[in-house]
Amino acid sequence: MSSPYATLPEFEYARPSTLEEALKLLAKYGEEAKVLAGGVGLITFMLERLVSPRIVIDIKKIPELRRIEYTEGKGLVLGAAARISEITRYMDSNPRVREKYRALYEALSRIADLQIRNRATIGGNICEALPFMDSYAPLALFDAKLRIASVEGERETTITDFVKGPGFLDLAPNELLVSIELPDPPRESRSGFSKIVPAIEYSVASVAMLVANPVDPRSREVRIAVSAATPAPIRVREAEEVFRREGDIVDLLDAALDRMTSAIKELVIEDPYASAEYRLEMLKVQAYILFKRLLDSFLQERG
Amino acid sequence: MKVRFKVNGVEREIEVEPYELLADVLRERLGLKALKKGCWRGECGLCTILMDGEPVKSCIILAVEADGSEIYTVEGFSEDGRPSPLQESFIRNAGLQCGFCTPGFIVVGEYLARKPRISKEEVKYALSGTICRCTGYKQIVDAVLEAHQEYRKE
Repeated sequence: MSSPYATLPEFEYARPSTLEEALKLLAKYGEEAKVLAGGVGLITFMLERLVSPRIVIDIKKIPELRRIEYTEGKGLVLGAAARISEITRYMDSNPRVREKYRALYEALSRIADLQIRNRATIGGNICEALPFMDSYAPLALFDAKLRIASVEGERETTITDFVKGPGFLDLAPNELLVSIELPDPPRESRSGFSKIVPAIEYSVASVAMLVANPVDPRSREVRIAVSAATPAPIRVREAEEVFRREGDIVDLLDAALDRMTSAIKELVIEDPYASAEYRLEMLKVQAYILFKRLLDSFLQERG
Repeated sequence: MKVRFKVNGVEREIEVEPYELLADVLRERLGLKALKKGCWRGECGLCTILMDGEPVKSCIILAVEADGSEIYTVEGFSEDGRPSPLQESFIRNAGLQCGFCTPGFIVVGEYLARKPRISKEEVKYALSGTICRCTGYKQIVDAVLEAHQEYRKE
């Protein structure tokens, strides 16, 4: 038991049963506290001595933080400590919800592995703040609202405002991510998620896409969100705007992908895992494949 | 801190420090030595246990988090000292060589084989969180699928 990385540094442990109690603890300990949800991030970081909190606050026993609930018209609400496998199971038993938020479902059901998905939480995935976190692109795609609370009150933000870059969140030491709210997507929309994962490591380029009403130029909508290739998730609105032009949706794809390239190319990560050129190319290839797949699904439905 | 849980069907109560890992408590304090720690960081899956019916990696769970839960390790699947149908299937299919990863695969395997329905693709995908460096996995997948047929008959 003396091997390095074998044991955890000493810390105190608190398991509040209400949100109020958790927020009081965060207010009291601030930067000396770390929040424990699924632990797949925090416990490995502590094993590697990347963090050594004085107190670990386990939020899993707070019922409000475990919510998974879809309401027609209001959308999907996920408590920050809802487990990945609980969310996908909820969607499997509510296929209409799964199809509405298909891109999120595809991303969550391919996070890490079976055992990890049984522990990891949506809030933990968001707060780990590494570029390749699988929830980022779909949450940006669905205009997710993040509810943040502290003893001083509540505020609302978006995933793209919340995640600033690697290891950098817009979250004060006394604040807690409470829930994630995904408003209803446009009617009759289709969405999907795609990532490139070399070997068993992490994604180097992730894309989430949504298409609604593809044949009607006035009401059609295409959304594109990227992550993993960039330091923080991005909704590529410059590319989305191209689809508002007149003409057949298929003919607008090349122009949209060109706009995507020019909008994000300065931001693409270059590191030993993958070059910026490769990442950018993989974003385009995946966007192309997703687009075809989503359009095909509309055609199939029409028979 | 006092932790109460049910391990392999037996109620246990044990005093632990908040920074003790569940894998260490099960192995070193409760003597369940079949459970192995391979990577010590939640990647290899050898320390997999069933916690409230779901496979999880016990090397990245605090013992205090297991309070009130029901746990099964590989020791919990044999009956009267006889191997379970899945364990028999691993022997028949040569689903092991050195055996170090086997306790992890048996736990995930029992979870999968006892599902009402499961395809070969689902088995392969579900086993991707557990690592074997000897067999090449084919025998392990075969062993799980064969046991699944037997459990379905029961």
